Amino acid sequence: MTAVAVPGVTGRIDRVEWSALRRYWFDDDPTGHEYGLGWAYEAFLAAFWDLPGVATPPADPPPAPPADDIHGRAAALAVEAPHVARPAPPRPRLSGNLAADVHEVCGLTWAQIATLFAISERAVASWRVQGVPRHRLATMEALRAIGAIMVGGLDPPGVSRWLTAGSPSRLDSIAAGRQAEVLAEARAYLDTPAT
Amino acid sequence: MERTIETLLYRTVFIPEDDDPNPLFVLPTTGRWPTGWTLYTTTSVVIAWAEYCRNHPRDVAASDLTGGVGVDEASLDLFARLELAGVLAARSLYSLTFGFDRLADLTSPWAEECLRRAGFDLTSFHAEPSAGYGDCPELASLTDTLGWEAMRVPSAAWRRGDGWCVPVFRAGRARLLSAHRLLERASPTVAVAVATRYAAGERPAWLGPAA
Repeated sequence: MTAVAVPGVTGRIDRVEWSALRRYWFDDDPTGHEYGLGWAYEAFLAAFWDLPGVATPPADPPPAPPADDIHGRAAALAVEAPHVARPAPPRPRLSGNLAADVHEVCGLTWAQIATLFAISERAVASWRVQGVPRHRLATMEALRAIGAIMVGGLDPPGVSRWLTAGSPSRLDSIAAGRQAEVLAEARAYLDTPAT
Repeated sequence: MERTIETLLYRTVFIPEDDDPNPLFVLPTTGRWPTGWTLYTTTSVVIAWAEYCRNHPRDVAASDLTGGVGVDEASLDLFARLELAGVLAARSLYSLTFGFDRLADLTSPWAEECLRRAGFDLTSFHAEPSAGYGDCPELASLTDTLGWEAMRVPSAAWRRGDGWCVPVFRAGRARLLSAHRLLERASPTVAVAVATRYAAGERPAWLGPAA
């Protein structure tokens, strides 16, 4: 079995394995899929194997440009001070009482929750004892779930700011029945993809 | 060429309610290099935070510390070291050490020439999300077949040197040697937010115009 060195890639790639893949892609019955990747397959083979005598250059990052404008200065300052560490706030706990949980975890006042449903603050405050009405359950449960995602990185007052910032705010979106959009924004915090 | 190296990478990580972050958690098929399992990391701390800011422009915008006045040449030094803490969630900072056998370096002029010959449009490294990230997702779809464990690529969020992005693929997961939580809870500074490149039309106004 011949192993072929691939410059720029640490390790070795097996040419026999590649030949098998080539047969799979180009000699078997077409599925349509192979045409989409065909250019890349052929091109990668050519590019990574057929460049004799080309040495792999070192891969140091390019030097940063001179910090002569606001962006350059900001970049230099950012490298020097990229973050600020913070102490962890006390963790809120879910009690199982839906109204109380939304109030605690989302940091929303009873007035803000009342505005969400266009009802009185007194009516909302009574939900702690009487329970959330059936037709409000889905929205309140979604709010609690969204708050539970965000409260680890934001304390409850921060979750409240996250929900109420902007126009329309995320709370406005929830009021308009677009909980799924807000939930997707919260879930986007779970990962940090390069974009 | 055969080489096994130890690579120190960084990643900002979501803090769950129980304060027990999982530095290897990924959402499948997201971002510029989507696969079933792509762990996005960087070679420098500042780029990890820049990628975070680029991901959440709405919340960076809502974290305006200037009351709408904005940061400019005169005020930058004063604001630069302050944290974006208003609406942008804090994260943990991790260092991850890998011992890759097949780390594809796509950052050198030589690699760029290879990619060009392969038909890969190099502007794809910075292609907008709205443009589907150019050829990046298609290249990502080939990495499993190519046997690449990870690759070193430019960052669209930070184009001033200082480091790279390193998406780690499923084959590279087993190469993880150690993970350390460097900071339990932190937020990027205003300086990072100002220096970050955002997707078209997403740069928060209070940070001033794009470079």
